[in-house]
Amino acid sequence: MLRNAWIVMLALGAGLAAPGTTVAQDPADSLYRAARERLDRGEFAGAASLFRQIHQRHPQSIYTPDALYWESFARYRIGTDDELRAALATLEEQRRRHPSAATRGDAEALATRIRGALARLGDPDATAEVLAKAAGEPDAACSDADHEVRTAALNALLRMDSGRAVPILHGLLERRDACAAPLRKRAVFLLAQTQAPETEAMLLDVAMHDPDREIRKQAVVWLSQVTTESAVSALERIAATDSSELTELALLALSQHPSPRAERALREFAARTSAPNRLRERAIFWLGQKRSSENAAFLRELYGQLDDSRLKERTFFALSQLRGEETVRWLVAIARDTTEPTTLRKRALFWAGETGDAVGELVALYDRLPDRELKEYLIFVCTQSRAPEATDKLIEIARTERDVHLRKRAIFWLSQSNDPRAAQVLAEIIGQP
Amino acid sequence: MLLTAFRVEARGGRLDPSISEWATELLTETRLLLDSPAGDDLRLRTLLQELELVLAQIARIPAAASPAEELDRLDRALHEQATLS
Repeated sequence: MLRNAWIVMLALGAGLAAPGTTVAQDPADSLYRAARERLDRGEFAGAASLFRQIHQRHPQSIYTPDALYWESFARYRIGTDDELRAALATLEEQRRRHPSAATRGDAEALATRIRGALARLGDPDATAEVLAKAAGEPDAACSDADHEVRTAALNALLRMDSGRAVPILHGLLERRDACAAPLRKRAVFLLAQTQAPETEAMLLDVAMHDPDREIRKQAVVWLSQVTTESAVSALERIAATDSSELTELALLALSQHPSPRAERALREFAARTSAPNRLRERAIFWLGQKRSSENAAFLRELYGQLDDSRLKERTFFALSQLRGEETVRWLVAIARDTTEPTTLRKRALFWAGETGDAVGELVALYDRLPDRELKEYLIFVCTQSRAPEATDKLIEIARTERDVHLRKRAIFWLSQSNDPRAAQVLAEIIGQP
Repeated sequence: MLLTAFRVEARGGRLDPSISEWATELLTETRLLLDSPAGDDLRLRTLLQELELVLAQIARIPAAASPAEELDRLDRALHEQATLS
């Protein structure tokens, strides 16, 4: 059997193993394959039984060390008290007999999750173990495996008794060394799941002061999940910092927060002339993603205060996302306003068309526009609409428009249409004397 | 994205170590979600559990007894379960 294992290792080392080939025969080959198939199909009882057969009947098989892990995994998934205890015993057997198994690294984390599940079922020994692992060992190595175990323990403790978990998380977040960075990242997530009174302050502190950029960003994102008014205050403070990266995330977090105050904060930021335009654009964008009459009214009013044409165009886009007949009427009014630059008037027409609302008002504008360039653009906007009124207008222009250039544009766009009426109108025009 | 990258690699018969590292990272995050209040939602829990199993297997492929066979088996399992859809 050992010889077989060597053949496998040599073949793999030489890159000879091709997918789908079994490089050496192992007596447990077929059992292992069947067990993994059961596991993949979610048949955990059957999978656990087959994995057990591997290590009991074929203790020398190359599959035996990991079969113990997968048996335990399957029993954990079944989740009853008896199966959880059996799963722990199987992992203990793996630790004793196969301390170098490839799955050992994860086995400790799995054992901690199993103890967490047992603790939730009222097991005092498992509870004590989870508490000890969550608190951490002073001389713990700085390894991924240790971090995984501690994360699993903290997660379990949080579900059992968040009052005991929060101070441990606090202590962990105060550690600023690089070794603890992966743990701090997990701690930020775990903290955000609690509704403890100190959560916002702790996340704010991490967002502002953690030495790791990614962890600072995570803290901002998770603040949006803390549905308190203090979290909104914390996000407002972050949005006011000099870091454009954090500000951008804070704006996103505010847009996800359910509080009306978060929406107000976004509106205030969008109106802030001292803020960089790029960030004001983001605030305007997020306002367009939250459908409310207050946001629509605010954006229409904001437009009048803006000097930057890019910000103005972003406002059109945000309004088009909010839709509504009032918005279309407002965009149509901008398109008619001769004091506005032609480029912006065209963009107003385009975004009015994109809302899909009040198409009648939009097409009626054609006859009121004195400007040929805008009329031509409105013909294009009509072609982008699926509303029947838009095709009706194109047909009318193709039949009756006196300006030959505009008439030709309408005919051209009708020729690109799949509407059966368009083909009929084109046939009529071709047949005219 | 990870599962797509995995299948591309699996068909070539090799697995870039960065994919296993990525799977390990995602596995931890999936487990955090599973054990969080989000895991109480039955539909989300089922989805996360399927994902956990796939990620646990991808994460351990380089150290598996027969990595090439594992790659092939998992690729087929992913196809059958339509985890990518």
